[in-house]
Amino acid sequence: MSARTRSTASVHVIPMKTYFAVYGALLVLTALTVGVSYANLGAASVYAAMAVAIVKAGLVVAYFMHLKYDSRFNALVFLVSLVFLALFFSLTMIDVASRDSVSETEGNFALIEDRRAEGAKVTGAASASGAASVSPPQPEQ
Amino acid sequence: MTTPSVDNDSPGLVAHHFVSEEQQRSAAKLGMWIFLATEILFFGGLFMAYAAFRFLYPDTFLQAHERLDVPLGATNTAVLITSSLTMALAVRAAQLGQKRQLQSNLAATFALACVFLVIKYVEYTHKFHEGLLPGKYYTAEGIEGLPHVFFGIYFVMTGLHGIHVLAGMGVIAWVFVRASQGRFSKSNYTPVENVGLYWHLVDLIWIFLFPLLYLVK
Repeated sequence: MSARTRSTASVHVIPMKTYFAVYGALLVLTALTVGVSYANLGAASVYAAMAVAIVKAGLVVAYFMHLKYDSRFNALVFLVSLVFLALFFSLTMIDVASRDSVSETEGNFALIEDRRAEGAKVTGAASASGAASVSPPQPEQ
Repeated sequence: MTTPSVDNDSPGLVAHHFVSEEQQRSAAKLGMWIFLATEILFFGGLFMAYAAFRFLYPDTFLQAHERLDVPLGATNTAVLITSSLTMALAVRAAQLGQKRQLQSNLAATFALACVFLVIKYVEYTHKFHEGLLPGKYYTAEGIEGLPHVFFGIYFVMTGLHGIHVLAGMGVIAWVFVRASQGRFSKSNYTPVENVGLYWHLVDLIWIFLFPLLYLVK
C-alpha cells in the first residue's frame, strides 16, 4: 500500500438529514414489526418479522455504521460472517428438522419405506372412495 | 520504500509499523469489523439454539412468550435505536472536529444505554417474582412443554446482550473522557468510530432479539 500524504482524510461525512431519515425509517419499521406480529400470519409471521428485521439491520449497517461509504473490504468481512452464519443455520436446521425421519433401530431407509407404504395405502383408499378425506400422517409440529 | 508521511494537523501519531495515518486508521477499522464478525457468530450460536428449540417446541414458545412484556420490549427497541442515532451523530461530530457536540452525543448515548438497562432490570425482577427463571430454577405454573428451556434461552440471550450493553457503556465513557481531554480532532478520531461500530452491533443484535423473543406468533 503506497504512502499517502494528506492533511485531512477525505472521509465522507453523512449529512444530518440522512441520519434522521434513517432514524425515522427505523422507528417506523419497529412499529411495523409489532404490527406484523398481530396480523395473524400464522407460520409465516416469523419470516415476515425477520424480513423487517433484515431491512432495519441493513439500514443500520449501511448508514449508521458507514459501510455504504467505507472500504469494500470491510463490507466483505461483514458479508462473509453472514455467509458462515447462514451455513451454520441451514446445516443445523436440516439436521434438527429431519430427526423424525430416521428410525432409531433400522436407520434412515426403514422409516422412509414405512412412510411410502402409508402414503400409497392412503392415496389408494382415497382414489377408491372418490374423495380424499384422510391426509397422510404429519410429523409433530 | 517511501518515507513515512506525517499528518500536519495532528502530528506524530503513526505507529512505526504503519506507513501513514490513513493506513493506520483503515487497519484499526478493519480490525474492529473482524471483531464484529466474531461477535455475529458468537450470538449466532445462541440464535441457533433458539431456532432449534422453537422448531421442536413451538407451543411452549407460543405460550411462554406471552409472559414477556411487549410494550417494554418495544420501548427498549426504540431506546436502542435512538442511542444508535446519537452514537452516529457523535461520530459525525468527531469527523467535523466539533468537541462539544461529540461530548453531548456520547453522553446521550450513555444515558439511553442506562435507560435500556433500567427497563431490563424492571423486566427481570418481574420475572423473578413470578418464578419464570431459567432452567432448573423455574418454578412457575401454567405453560406446557418445556418452559424452563424457553426462559433459559431468554435469560442467556438477553443477559449476554445486557453484558455487551454494559461493556459498551464502559468504552463510551472512556471515549467521553478522552474527548473531554481534547484528544480527538478532525483527522484523529478512530477510537470514536470503532466504539460507534461496536455500539451499532449491540443495537443490531437487539433488533433481531426483540421480534424473536417478544413477538412469537
